[in-house]
Amino acid sequence: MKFLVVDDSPTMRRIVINALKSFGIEDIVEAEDGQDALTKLQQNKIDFVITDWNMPNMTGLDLTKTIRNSEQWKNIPILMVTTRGLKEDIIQALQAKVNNYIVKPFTPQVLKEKIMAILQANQK
Amino acid sequence: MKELDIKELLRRAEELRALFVLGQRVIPFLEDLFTFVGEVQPLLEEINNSIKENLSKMPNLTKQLSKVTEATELATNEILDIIDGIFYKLDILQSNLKEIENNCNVVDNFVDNFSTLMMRKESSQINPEYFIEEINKIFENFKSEYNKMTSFSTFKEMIESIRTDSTSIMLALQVQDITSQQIAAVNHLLDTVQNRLTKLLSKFNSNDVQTMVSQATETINVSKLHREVAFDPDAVETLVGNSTKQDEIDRLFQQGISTSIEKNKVETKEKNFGSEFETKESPIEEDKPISQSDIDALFEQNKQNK
Repeated sequence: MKFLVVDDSPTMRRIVINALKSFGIEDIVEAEDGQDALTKLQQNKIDFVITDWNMPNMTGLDLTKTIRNSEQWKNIPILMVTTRGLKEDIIQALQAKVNNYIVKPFTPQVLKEKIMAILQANQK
Repeated sequence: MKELDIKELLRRAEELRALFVLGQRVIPFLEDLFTFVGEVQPLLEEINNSIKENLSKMPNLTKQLSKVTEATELATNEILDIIDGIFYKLDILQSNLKEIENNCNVVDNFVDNFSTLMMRKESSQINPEYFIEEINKIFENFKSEYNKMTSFSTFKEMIESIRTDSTSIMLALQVQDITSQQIAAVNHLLDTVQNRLTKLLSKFNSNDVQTMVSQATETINVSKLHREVAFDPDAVETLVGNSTKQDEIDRLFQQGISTSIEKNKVETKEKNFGSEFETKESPIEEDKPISQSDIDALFEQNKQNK
């Protein structure tokens, strides 16, 4: 399973990737914003996207909308990991059809739970 | 007398004519002056408002930077505490390893005793009953010494504990992203203030004052630091009681916030969304940060309704 980690902060990308590796997930691609993520999606067969919201060039929300509007990628699970915790933000994320949502800072355990929940829901 | 009066009259008339000529020349100047004052008034009001507005933002900037310092300090101390703990655990592991190293002769003794016994048996120096008794003693002794020198459960516990510590460090390091967003927000605000003041000053001499007054600065949540940092102006707020917020978000997902979604749906006028949500009381206030459990509850509700 190939994961795409999208965050403009190299520190956060590293933290998420470290956490994924500790879960045994080794096949990981990273992108620094939404635009870069679209390029990576075109270049790789991505199975799961973990994205930040606030990013230059293209936000995580716009990336989600683009993915959901794409025939090719619309079914890829998306997990939003962000500092934005207002109810309005959550609703926007839901409207964009994000599969789940984590507020930073998070523990690897929470990340794992959300990934597993999304994967299990997708299997049903 | 009459001649004098006429001369005086003519002189006065000449003065009056000069006054009219002057008036004709002065009127356009006065008109310009009135126009200038009329144009400058909104500019002065704008400057006044801008200064007031910018000054009102300054305490907020100070507060935000103070929060950044506080968050960084907390995270650094937390990491240092964890590292102290790791060093302590490493000391225990090191001392256990040293003990194992010192007790390596346990195996040597066992091999020596065993081979001596075997040799004695081979040369028929001991009877079979005594041999069995002796060999049991050697094994019992070895087992006892071996158990003393190795406590593998301690190793396992320590390794697991260090793993947990590393996870905690990883969690604390997320503060870097959060505080950089906060600093980016402050930087952006300072840039905005600077740009607005610069614009105001550059337009001060311009005739086109009116157009400047209505100009508003566009807000883009990206700030140029060592790299372009997109930010959430309230990022640092997530550091306070994050786990509680996450719980609230999870709860929200389970309970659903359909009322708010419906309301939001109408407000945003987005079609084909939200109609599947049931109408329930929202436990969450508008524009308040919510927890992970509330988010989870919301997504769960959304899934069920699909």
